Amino acid sequence: MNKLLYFCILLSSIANARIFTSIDGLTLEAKILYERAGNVHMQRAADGRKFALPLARFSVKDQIFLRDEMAAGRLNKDGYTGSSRVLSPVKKNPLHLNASRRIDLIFEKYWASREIEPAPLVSDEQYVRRASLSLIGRIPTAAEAIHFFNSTQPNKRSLLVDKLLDSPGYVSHFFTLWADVLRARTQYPHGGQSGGVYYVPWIKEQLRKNVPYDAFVRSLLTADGYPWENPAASYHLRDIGMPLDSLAMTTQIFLGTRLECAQCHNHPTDQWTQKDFYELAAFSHGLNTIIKGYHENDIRMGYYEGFDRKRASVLEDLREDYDKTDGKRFSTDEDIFLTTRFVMDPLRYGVSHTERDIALPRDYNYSDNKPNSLVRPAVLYGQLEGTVPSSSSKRVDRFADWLISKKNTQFTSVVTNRLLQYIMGQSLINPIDQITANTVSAIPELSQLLNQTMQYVDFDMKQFIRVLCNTRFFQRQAVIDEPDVPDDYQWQGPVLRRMSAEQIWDSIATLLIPDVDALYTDVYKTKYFNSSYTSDQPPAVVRLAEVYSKNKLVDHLHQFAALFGPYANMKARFQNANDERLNDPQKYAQLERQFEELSAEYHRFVDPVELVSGQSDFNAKPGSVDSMMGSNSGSSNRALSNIRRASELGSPARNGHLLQTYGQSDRQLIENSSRESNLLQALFMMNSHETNALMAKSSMPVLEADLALSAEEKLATIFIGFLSRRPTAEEQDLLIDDFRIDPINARKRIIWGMLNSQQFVFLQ
Amino acid sequence: MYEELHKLDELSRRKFLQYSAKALLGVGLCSIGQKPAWASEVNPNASTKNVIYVFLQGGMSQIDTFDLKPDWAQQGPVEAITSSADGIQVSHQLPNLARHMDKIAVIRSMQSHQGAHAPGQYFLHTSYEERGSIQHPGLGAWLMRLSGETNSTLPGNMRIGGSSNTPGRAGFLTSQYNPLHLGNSGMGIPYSHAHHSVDAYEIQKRLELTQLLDLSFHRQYSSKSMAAHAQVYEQAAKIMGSEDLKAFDLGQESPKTRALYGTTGFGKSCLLARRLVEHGVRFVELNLSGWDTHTDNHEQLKLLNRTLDESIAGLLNDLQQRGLLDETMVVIGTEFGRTPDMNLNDGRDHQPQAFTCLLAGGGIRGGQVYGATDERSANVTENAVTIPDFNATIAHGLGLPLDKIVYSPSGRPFQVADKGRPVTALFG
Repeated sequence: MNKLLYFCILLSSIANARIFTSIDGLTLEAKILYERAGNVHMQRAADGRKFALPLARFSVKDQIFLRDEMAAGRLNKDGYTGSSRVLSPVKKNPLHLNASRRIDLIFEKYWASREIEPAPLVSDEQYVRRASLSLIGRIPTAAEAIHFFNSTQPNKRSLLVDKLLDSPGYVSHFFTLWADVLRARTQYPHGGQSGGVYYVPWIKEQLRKNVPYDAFVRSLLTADGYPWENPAASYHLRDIGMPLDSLAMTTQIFLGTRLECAQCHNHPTDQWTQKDFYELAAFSHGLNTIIKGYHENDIRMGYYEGFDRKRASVLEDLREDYDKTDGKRFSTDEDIFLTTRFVMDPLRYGVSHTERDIALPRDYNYSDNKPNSLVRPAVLYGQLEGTVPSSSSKRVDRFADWLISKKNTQFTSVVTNRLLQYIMGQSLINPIDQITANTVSAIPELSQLLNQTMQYVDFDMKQFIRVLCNTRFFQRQAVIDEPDVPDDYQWQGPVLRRMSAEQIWDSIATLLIPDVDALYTDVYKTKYFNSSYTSDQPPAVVRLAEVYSKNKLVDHLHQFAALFGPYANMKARFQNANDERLNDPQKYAQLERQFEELSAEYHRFVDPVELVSGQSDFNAKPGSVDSMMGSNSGSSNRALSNIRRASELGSPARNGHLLQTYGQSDRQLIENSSRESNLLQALFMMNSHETNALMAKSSMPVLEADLALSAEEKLATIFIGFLSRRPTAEEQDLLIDDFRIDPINARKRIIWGMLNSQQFVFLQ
Repeated sequence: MYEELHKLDELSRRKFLQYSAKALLGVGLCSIGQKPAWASEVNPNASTKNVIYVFLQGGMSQIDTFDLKPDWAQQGPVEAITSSADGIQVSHQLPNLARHMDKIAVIRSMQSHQGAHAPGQYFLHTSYEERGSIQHPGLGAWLMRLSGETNSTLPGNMRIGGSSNTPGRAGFLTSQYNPLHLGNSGMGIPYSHAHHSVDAYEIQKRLELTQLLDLSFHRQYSSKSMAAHAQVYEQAAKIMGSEDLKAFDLGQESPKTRALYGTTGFGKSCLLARRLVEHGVRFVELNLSGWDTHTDNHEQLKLLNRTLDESIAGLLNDLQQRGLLDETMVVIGTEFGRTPDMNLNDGRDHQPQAFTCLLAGGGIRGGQVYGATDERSANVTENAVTIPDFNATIAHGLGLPLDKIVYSPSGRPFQVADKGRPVTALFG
């Protein structure tokens, strides 16, 4: 029996299915079950049928993928664990398509009333590229595109939307959106101090589980504790010591209301007063992001209430020691308190509730209240259910209830517009985060429908996106919207945009290695203020406090204090060793050695290796990523081992990474990404290692093209791999002769040409 | 169109492709380096030719650095030391800068009305408040637009360090005036050389092919961002293999010169800035972040001040030794200052209504203090300098026409420094 019969052209939806290509270029969508004796056992998506195929039957690209999975131990005779992560599939409700039609009807009315023509519908070639970039943030592989082209199902566009929504790429792509909004960073200092190394995997997990938006926001606003216990606490820890700024950010990103002006005075261009701001701030002012007791001054002053008894009593002992000896027991100039803080630093940053009240500032300048007078919590608009509770945690709960309530239409409106903007390139309310009393929607009727839809699906973002992407509007050709020319854009179709930095990088990654979506990063690691933070475990001090007896802990801190002075002196000596560095290399090397030895000993005290599992062989651990990772220096081969999707690199990527060059948000400010062009981008696309790797014979479209028999088909496969389209007849005429005569150099030139073309980076 | 192309010989076809790309994209109509029509409005006797702008991101604490208040209870553990300028005292954590105060004008009466970082940094860089409907240009972009003459292949406006998304880029001006951003001083301009197997002919062939592949796309679309995308390719072709790239090779400096700038990455950026200015770059912005000292202000300032002190002292010293200080203005700017009162976390919070910025070189008279604050450095008591005034002062040094109105594509009128008035007393 011809095994290749299993490669067919039907498209269906089955969890964890992947598109494979046979050695002669046919495509198959199937789920891997297990491998035995060189045969891969699979289940076909179209009809659920199970069968086995010999490894050699697969295309070279798929063979690489399957062999990599086997080598990594994920695929063997017992099964396949490669895509075992549970993704919550999109709920399919026939009413979704009704909603999509109603959206299109509103657009039709809008165009008719303005006597404008909508943009024409896109071809299958443009559609598969747009749908992939809009839903999973990368271009389709040649196999995915060809599989789609060959499908004869009448509703294949709609089926593709469902398939993409249920693929891991969805998580990657929408992680970018929320990481930009929430300023989620794994890099210094926020990866540690604000708990970013715990937060980033958590955000991805929420998307994987498709947690409804309102529940997601609620868990952010109401989180407390340390980020390794509750990663959502990072939301408040992102603005440590700045509760008022944190509140202004909350209203900006979830309600589109800018209050930062009202922090210091009545808002000059909006209705909010400084008193309004303080009344709103009163709800969450009890939230404290710095836990007292771990700073040297706190200890001197006896602040150590509020955390567990053992740690408190250690600090009490230290303080007693200090009192008894009049400070003399501590031999170093930077006393025990400072070193205690160095060890205990991670424990300082957590979210706790206090009964702190809020008062108007002392320079309050309006006649309705006196400066310094206490403020009672009150909401900006709408009604608060019941009375304001007295405990801080209940007050925060009540505030969250008000904010995410369906009655609070601004909450709904902001997220519908955000998703519309992310997918179509434009929002009905613009800018989304500056809604004032004068804000009007570009198409009020549509805004209303979208908000109703979002509430109808109970803030299920996948269902909402399913509605948007089943519109004919989503299938229309992109149109230009110049940001500084008013009224040139009339919603004739989605907006023509340069791809985001993440879309460009993830597309290049797709072309460089097979199945980039399957590579996850579970473990991020960073350092802050002497302590290491690693995603899958609490910082060392937490274990230190658990494992050591009280006396041993006190002892540890005393020993550390004795080491601190020499270490600090050595550090200063080494850092100021300019003379030696320039004139006496031997002496300099000696200083460096001494410093490194002392430094190693010092860090053993801060981060005792034996207490932290997996710490020592961290770099060898699969699936872990250093916050500095993403290096692509050195040979392209070494670079390939570091290729992952943007969502799986450090957040944000390191300086000089393509992602930064193309304007990835630094995640210091809300939604701070840029799509502007610059010189470095051109140089990167022209001359980088990645470009050279893409032109080489191991690049994915080239491997896929190897399966084709004729030069024309090879050329077409390369075109589909990079541009998701076949060459036009004219292009083929111009290129085919060179391609026949000097296939390698012609291939390089063509690939270079496609990468550097505008079609590659502009989302049509 | 393709049929017509086939009939043409190789040279004509290439010309045609270049022509069509330019016509479709508007490329080549306003190349960099072309003298703008209003160049005559730039003061030919301007005292400042170049600017090295050091952005202290986060809000420098003025009371712990250049506006000490020894009698104020919450001054913190800094001592006032005398400097090379009569009557100017600075923190003891700035011993090297103290020796160069005779070159520096200290403006102690800076005022902003933006108390949060994002709007504060936007205002500092553009002189305008942030608006959803428009992006305002920064000083470097204004300089390129109004007086962008340079005989270098390097972009005239560059940034080293910090985020590539820091505000004050080209804004509504064309994106060719965007500062070229490099993440750090060590990387140079990455990928500025073609692969060794590729010669100029091959590059040319490849660029032609790119234009050919885009023909149908360009027939359908022509947008500003596409034009900008094409424009950076022109720039890239120009810079590849250029002699000016030597500016990035800090190894060409003597160990003695390098030592002047200290050992930090920021020190290296300062050295690179000097080399860039020598190679024709007119506006270089450097970033030194970490000044947002809401927690442990005193502890953090020790390190921040040390970096600032050794690097800027080195830069001023080196610029002067090379005779570059007269034509190069060094600006130390920050989005706001910090409160004289300590908060509960041993930190200081934001204070836009009174803070300190510095100017040196480029015609600035050093050794002077301008403006003053009250006994706690909480309010300005004389000669307030607003952010637009501050930027107008820099623009005045550069000879830019402050009253020149430039219209955005949507027809809105804008000026360099938004009607700020230059503090001319600082010059001369």
